[in-house]
Amino acid sequence: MGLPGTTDSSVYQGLKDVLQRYPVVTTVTYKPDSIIRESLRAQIDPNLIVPPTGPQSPTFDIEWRFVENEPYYRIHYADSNTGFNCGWHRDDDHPELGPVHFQYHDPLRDEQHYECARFKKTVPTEILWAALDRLFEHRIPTLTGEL
Amino acid sequence: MSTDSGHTHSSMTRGERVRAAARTLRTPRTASWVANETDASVKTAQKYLEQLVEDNVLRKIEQGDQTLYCVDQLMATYREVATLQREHDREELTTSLESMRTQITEWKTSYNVETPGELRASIADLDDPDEIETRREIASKWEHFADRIPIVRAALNEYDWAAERDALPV
Repeated sequence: MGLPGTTDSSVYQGLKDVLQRYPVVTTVTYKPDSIIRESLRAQIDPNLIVPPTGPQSPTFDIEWRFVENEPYYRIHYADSNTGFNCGWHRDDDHPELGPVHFQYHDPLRDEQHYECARFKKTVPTEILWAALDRLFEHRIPTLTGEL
Repeated sequence: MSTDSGHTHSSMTRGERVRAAARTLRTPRTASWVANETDASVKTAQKYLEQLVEDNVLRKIEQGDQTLYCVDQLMATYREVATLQREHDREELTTSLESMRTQITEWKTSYNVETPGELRASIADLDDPDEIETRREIASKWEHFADRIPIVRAALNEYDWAAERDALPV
């Protein structure tokens, strides 16, 4: 299902700022383009992540919406080299897991998994920082390491 | 359940974290709220928030004995209009504007409604989950287009004037 609510593209300014400062990120662009601005896409340097992947650049997509002041978001990483993808979603797809869940799909290992997740902070930029750290320092090395 | 490591956060200074967070303040917040969210001291948060007020990024609101900060939406919109004028030619802006308008007209015709609110309301009479999801997604997109259209139109309205002002001195 898609995210509930309406996009507030003004929030993307701060999020873009965070992405541009993150070491493995090479470029950040708006999707579908910088006029319509529905979401943000960062391209990841495949040689800078652990373990390295490639040759294609993985993508990191961010969409943030609001129902009044209630945030809904999708922070999702996808590696087209391996098909591995994972992310933190705050949506209505898995109410049994609470408001936020982490999910991953690894076609090489034939694994699909969902679990509840939580962020200590509420401001979008801090949630994004925490997600980036968890992803590149813990999740990718652990989930895509040696088979 | 994963926890926040905060390790790489050190690559962004406290001031930068406060500045980035401040740009997402849709609801007016105090300096101590921002400080708590960004693990900065209240003094540091206040210093950067005040700078952003001076730079016309934030608005300062006095409410009782509290000072609150939120994004200055008017200035943010002006900046966005200028960015659109600087980064896109007239044709790109016109094409995008027309495509959003055409899409809205198609939605109006297809669903026989005049507003995204009416489209959302029509969901109440449906049972098919796929159709409900489609209409919900279109209503969201429609609301987003309705937000974007005036900004793109504003960029086009004064396009030549802006281009003239933006020209580099020879």
